[in-house]
Amino acid sequence: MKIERELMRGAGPAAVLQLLTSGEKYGYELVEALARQTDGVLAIGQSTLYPMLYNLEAKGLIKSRQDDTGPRPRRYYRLTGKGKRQLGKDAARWAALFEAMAALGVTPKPAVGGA
Amino acid sequence: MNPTSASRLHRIVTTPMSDLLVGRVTGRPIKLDRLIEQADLPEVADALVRDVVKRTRLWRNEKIAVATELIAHFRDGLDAGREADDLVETFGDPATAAKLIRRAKKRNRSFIWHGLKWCRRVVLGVFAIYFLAWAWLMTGSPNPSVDYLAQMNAPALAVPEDDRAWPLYRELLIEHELMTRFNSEEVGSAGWGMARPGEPAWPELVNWLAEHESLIPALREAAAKPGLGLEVGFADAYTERDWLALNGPDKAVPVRNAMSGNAADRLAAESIIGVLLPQLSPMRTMARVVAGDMRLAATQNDGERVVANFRSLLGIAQQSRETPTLINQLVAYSIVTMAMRDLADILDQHADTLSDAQWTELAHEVAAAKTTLALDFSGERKWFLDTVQRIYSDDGNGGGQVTFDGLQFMAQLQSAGSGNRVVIDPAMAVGLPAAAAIMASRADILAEHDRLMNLLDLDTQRPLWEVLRQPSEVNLQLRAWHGSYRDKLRYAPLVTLMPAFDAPHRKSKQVQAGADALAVAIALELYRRKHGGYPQDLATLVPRYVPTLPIDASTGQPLLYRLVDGRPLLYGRGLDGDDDGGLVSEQAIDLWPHMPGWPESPEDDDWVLFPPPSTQSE
Repeated sequence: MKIERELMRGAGPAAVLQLLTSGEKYGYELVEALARQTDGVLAIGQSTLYPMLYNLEAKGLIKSRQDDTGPRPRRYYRLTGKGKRQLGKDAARWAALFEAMAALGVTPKPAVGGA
Repeated sequence: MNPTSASRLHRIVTTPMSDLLVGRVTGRPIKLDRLIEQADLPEVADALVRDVVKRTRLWRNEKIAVATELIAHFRDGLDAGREADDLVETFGDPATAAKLIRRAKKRNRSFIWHGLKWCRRVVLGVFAIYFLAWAWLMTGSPNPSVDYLAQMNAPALAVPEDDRAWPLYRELLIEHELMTRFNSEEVGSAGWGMARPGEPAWPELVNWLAEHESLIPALREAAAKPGLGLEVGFADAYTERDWLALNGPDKAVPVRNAMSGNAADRLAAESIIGVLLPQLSPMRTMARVVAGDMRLAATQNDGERVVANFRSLLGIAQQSRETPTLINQLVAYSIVTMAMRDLADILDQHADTLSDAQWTELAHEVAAAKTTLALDFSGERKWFLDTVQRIYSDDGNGGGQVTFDGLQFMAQLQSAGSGNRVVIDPAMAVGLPAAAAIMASRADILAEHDRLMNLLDLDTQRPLWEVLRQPSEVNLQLRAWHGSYRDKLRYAPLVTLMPAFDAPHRKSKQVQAGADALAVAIALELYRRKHGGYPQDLATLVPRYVPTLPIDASTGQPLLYRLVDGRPLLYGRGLDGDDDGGLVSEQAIDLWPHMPGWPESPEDDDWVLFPPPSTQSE
């Protein structure tokens, strides 16, 4: 299942920010991680990912560096302090949205006091 | 060659200058094509990278960064075992990618770039607005449709042919060469033409009058006509005979300026501001002749001639203001002032020349003369309306916009007198659209003008003591506009072209005060004749000799009266508001009926209205 474009526009940046919490990553790594960790639900076409990365960088949420020491030059992206704060806000919003959808019965209610 | 050194050499050669400057030998290729070529991607991926990078239309270094990243992406994918076709397929639409990348990369550019971008947008916006303003300015053109000159001439044209004084005056001016001989420098206002009995030049005037014995009755006949009947206009509106009368035989007949093809020139040439009023100087000259004969008649004990001449002077004054402009009215005031001043002198020095009936008749004439002194701004209204229809276009509903030709015409009005045609230079041209955008619309200007003119009409009802001490609302409004650059421009036609009404207003009120005092002085003379002496106070004159007593126009209090050496003295308190016993300083001599202290005589002076303070009576 793929997420529709409009929904992806909101989810994509938060997903990328979340992936970067574990450390800096380059473009292909992010594409792969998104597809793998979300079972393809949040698989982002490269045509969308790179502009998204540039936008996040323009907003100061991530920072990039060029690494020319490896087998090929790569650009690595890492989360900034501002990006962390933004991710916190996005996570809270998604949680609230998820709860609201669950309250309406659109999505299953989260299990309370799980194992 | 050593491979290591060759590699190092290659890295140095391919490293951009920016890297070298900071001491980095990165080996990043300078050439984009070479960079992609060196990546050695499968053909489909190579084509995609080239396509996307090319479509981004970014700066060269930005394209290199994008290409580097995309190359790394595809190489990573291939290294991970994916097929090139699969990678290309999952990449997405290259056009969309290029568009989004371009947008995002531009967001990453420096503050300076973003600042310059906005500056460029602002400049372009200003240019666009400026261009539109110019286009807007150039689309309108004035279309004067109302013949205000015809309206100004309506009173003259309404006078039946047989009742017109001008044809008679014209022939008298020619026959007696009044504008050349009598109006010459040695005779005119500074010469013997204004001489009074007892002055050294008096005999010359007496001789001239004797030589032109037939002139005075003929002037009186013309002055008795109901109207002047002179249609005013541009130079070509007058006949050659008119010009012979007005200028004499030695001056060339004026010719109206040829109209050029320039619209602003045409607007100016047809504006009623260019209308000539050549009759005013002759009217004043003829009044001087009649006044001279009135003074002579008094010395000859010819009371009947005094009365007839006084009446003629008022007739000439009334005829002078037939064209309803402020200038015409000022000429009428000067003639009335001259007549009253001379009559006051006659009353003071030759009162016995006239019978009781004649003084009574003159008292009525003096009272009637006050109607000649009422200010009328109808001509100034027409003049302004004519000017507005030459500055603005007309939408037929009272609205319209400022026009380029109109602004040029207005500039010509402002430079009137320089004699130069105003050409809009580049500096002016730059400011014109802005000026036009700020200037009030035709409807607003007309509404404001109407409001101010109505205030002016109301202001003419204000007494002199208020006028002297408290500026009119119109003046306050004009001053307020003058104090603000925006308003000065917004209401430029009004700020520039509103008539200078203060001086005529004060003059009108002061001549009226002089007429009031003269009427009381005549009543005092009639009382003296009846009772053998002057009354102790003015109230005694009411109602038998005067219906009511005039007030002191300088303060609004009762007119002051006292006997000095057995002779009556009528005066107001003057600008300081104090009774100084009829004090008149040297500077105030021969100012009658103007109030000392305005504008520059000593403020302690009283305003002596009868007898007129003069060097002769000193």
